Amino acid sequence: MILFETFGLFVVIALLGVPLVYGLLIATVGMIWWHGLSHPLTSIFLSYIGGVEPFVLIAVPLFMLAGEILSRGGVGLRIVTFATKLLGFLPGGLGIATVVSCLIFGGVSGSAIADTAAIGSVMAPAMVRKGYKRAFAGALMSTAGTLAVVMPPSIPMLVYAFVSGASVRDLFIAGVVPAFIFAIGLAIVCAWHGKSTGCDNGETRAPAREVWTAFVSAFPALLMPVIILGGIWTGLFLPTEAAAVAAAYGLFVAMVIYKDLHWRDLPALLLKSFTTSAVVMVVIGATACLAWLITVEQVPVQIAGFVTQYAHEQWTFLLLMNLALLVLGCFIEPVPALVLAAPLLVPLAIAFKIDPVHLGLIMTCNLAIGLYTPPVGGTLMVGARLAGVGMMEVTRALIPQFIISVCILFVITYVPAISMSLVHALR
Amino acid sequence: MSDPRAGDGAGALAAATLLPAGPPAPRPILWLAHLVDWSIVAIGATMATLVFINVILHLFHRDMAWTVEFCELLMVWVTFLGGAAATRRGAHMVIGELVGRLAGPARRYADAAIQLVVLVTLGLLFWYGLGIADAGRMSELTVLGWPMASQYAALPVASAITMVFVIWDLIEILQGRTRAQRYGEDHP
Repeated sequence: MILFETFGLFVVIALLGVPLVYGLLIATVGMIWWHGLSHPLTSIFLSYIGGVEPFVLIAVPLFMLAGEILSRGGVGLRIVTFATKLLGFLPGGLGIATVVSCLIFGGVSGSAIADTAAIGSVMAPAMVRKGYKRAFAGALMSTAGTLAVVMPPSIPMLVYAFVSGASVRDLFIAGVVPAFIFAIGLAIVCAWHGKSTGCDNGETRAPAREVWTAFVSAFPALLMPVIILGGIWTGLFLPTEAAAVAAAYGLFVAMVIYKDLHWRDLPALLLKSFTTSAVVMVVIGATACLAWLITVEQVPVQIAGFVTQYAHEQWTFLLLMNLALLVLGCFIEPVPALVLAAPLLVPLAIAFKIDPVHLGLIMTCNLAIGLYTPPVGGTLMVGARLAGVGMMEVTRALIPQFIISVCILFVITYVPAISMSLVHALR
Repeated sequence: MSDPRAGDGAGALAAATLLPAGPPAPRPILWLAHLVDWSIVAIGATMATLVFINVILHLFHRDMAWTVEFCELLMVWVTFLGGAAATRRGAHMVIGELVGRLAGPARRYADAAIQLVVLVTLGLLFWYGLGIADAGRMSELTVLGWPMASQYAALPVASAITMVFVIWDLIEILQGRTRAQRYGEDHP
């Protein structure tokens, strides 16, 4: 089947170290030549341009810009101070504060790598000083950073919405409860680790005045997800416009309130966020070429026939899909994996009466796990580097977090009400 | 003979001090790189400002309809130029675990082979991009009324610029410079 051949060729090219964008283009064009298909390459490359053009995707660089603006200054430190004052008294308190900081910062940045780096650079050394093993600190950074992918605003969710036609607003709202559940799961691991190893039995409780002062200091940053979600939910602005508002608000907070940022810093921030976004966008464009080919070759119809041979029920489809995505996530970052898989899975999910919003949430949560599974894990690499240990040591240390995250993934998969209740209530 | 990397340093363009320098290169390539970087900054700032102004206008029940089409045009340009800037910094998404295990000449050959593959792909993008842009001269953008070529030209232009960066990188590889020397210590 042409899809498996193309995907196989792409994986081989990508494993050889060719950038993913070119790997996708070569695999697509290569298959056309190999099979002697008569599709004009002009159409293929026109879909490359068309893949990066839609107005809704402008939200991707703008959310990245907002995250960059707020990450640049002391927002991460202020959030960490607040979380530590609030939760430091619990067993494993420093680890729990790390998880909560990542959850909050995820609502600001929308990027798992930025989340891991911003919080990890402060918390990893603090955890090591406290007596946590470096490998555990690295593992916690790697896993907690991925909360940014589930907590809105989420770049993978935006991309899924574009590919599937699902509502960005609904996806963002659907991500809130699962993000908190993942955070609670990770906090339980921290409490257990802190107590069982004796490295962190908890500090004395901080006075209420100190907690309040830390809260006031972090409040402008905490308001960011509220403004974004509130604006989209009330219909005040579209997701793309919400991203522009987030960038403007971030600028106001960083320059006027926190005074962490100067006008001279802006060109570098714009360059970084739009270049980082371009790296994602060209992959989306290249995947649009592949999508064009597989649509013309009627691959989705063949896939549907193949899947329905093995998955007769909704639960078996969800099980197979989750297992396949966990494997895919080991090799490919969430955004390209979503762009590749969503066009194939959405029609099947609809046939199995699964809400596309719920499907998008499952896919996002699943592929977030791929960010810390070897061999290719963005937050795994950052977490290991911040903790100053090897990736294999961190991988061994994150087994409890991995197990608990997979359990939560399956609960979210098979109990749609967890994520969808809030969506239905606010629709 | 003068060092072809004489363009190193922050002084190549006065305004460049506002932006990260990026990898060293001969002066003409640095100028091209600065042009790309500043184009990205200008386009990005324009897009963010236009979308935000439109949100403010919505509060007064007004709308600039042309901004959607204009921002889409800018999005195509900023994406492909951003791709070129990412190429220059070795920042594209890569599965580097296998190649990362190689060292010495084997790594150099692998890096050279990868850049050759990229160069051929960029050549295709440039060639077919030219054809697409040429065909786009005949049709117009719906609201702006500009030729579609103004949008489609981003592909061949950015591909040509990216090819320059890749060719320079290839030369550096053949001169024996490691990836860390070419892009910095963050790129082992």
